[in-house]
Amino acid sequence: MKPSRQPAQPPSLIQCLSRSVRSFSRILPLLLAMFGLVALLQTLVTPHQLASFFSGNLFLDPLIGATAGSLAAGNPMISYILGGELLQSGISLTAVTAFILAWVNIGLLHLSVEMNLLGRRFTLRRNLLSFLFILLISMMTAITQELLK
Amino acid sequence: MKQENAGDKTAAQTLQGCRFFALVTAVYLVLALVRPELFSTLITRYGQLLFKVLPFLAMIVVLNALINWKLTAGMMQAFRTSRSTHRWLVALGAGILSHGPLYLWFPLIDDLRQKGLNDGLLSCFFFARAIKLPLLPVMVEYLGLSFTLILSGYILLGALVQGLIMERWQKQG
Repeated sequence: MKPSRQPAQPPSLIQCLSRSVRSFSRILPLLLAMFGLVALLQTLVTPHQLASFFSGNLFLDPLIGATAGSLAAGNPMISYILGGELLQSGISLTAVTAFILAWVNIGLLHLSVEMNLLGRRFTLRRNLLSFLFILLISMMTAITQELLK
Repeated sequence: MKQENAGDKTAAQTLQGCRFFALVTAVYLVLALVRPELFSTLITRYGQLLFKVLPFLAMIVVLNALINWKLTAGMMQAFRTSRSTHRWLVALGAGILSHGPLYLWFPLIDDLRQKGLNDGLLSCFFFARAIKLPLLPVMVEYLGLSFTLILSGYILLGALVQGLIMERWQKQG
């Protein structure tokens, strides 16, 4: 007679917690290195230096905004405050929107971490698509805002 | 076999992480020798950053454990086969509600991906993170109410379309 197979016991919360801690500890060197890079960037390139990249060109500025935002790291609130200042200094709404969106959505700095954990193909596709969508949404937002005035 | 591959992948990831860490440490050591004042500023900032990020990291570790505890393979299968509107709404909602730096979410996302979540839903989640609920009043204050509403609407739409494109690309291979 074949012994009946016992159904697998579901893991307890403690087991899941310890598994989660172990899984995060495996990527700890990666995260610590990431923090190191973020600290380096935040020290060497201030948000105001990033904002100084804008040229005032209506077509070039959204691209500069998206690129500068992709390079930035830190609390998104800084991007809103900077965005308000940039608008007041005459930078286009499209460029400011691209800057704010890229700040949160694209991280050139943590691209290698994303590739390491989520795969090269997914990371490149996602970031490229996000960059294009940021430019598109920035333009649409500025146009809609203008139409509603 | 599958488990062996997952083990290999994890080992490779850890090794890559250690190399990356060694590289960044080397940069810091060089800076300590060449520019000690910059090094001290960097270390202070590093400490501040770590202190700020730790609560988020702890939250994500606990969230990951809770997901693994409660989310069974059957539930995941039920989610994957549920109505597509439901799946996209969950991805958008999770994106809006998630907090903390983007890179802290990668391990949890990797875990969910291994459980079968598709690239489309993940991209949708990532893009919807551009809406920061607690920061909306700040955005309204500095950039105006109409701008905030229009942008938030476009972000949701963009997240959805981006997710659909990623899903299609994944199906095409």
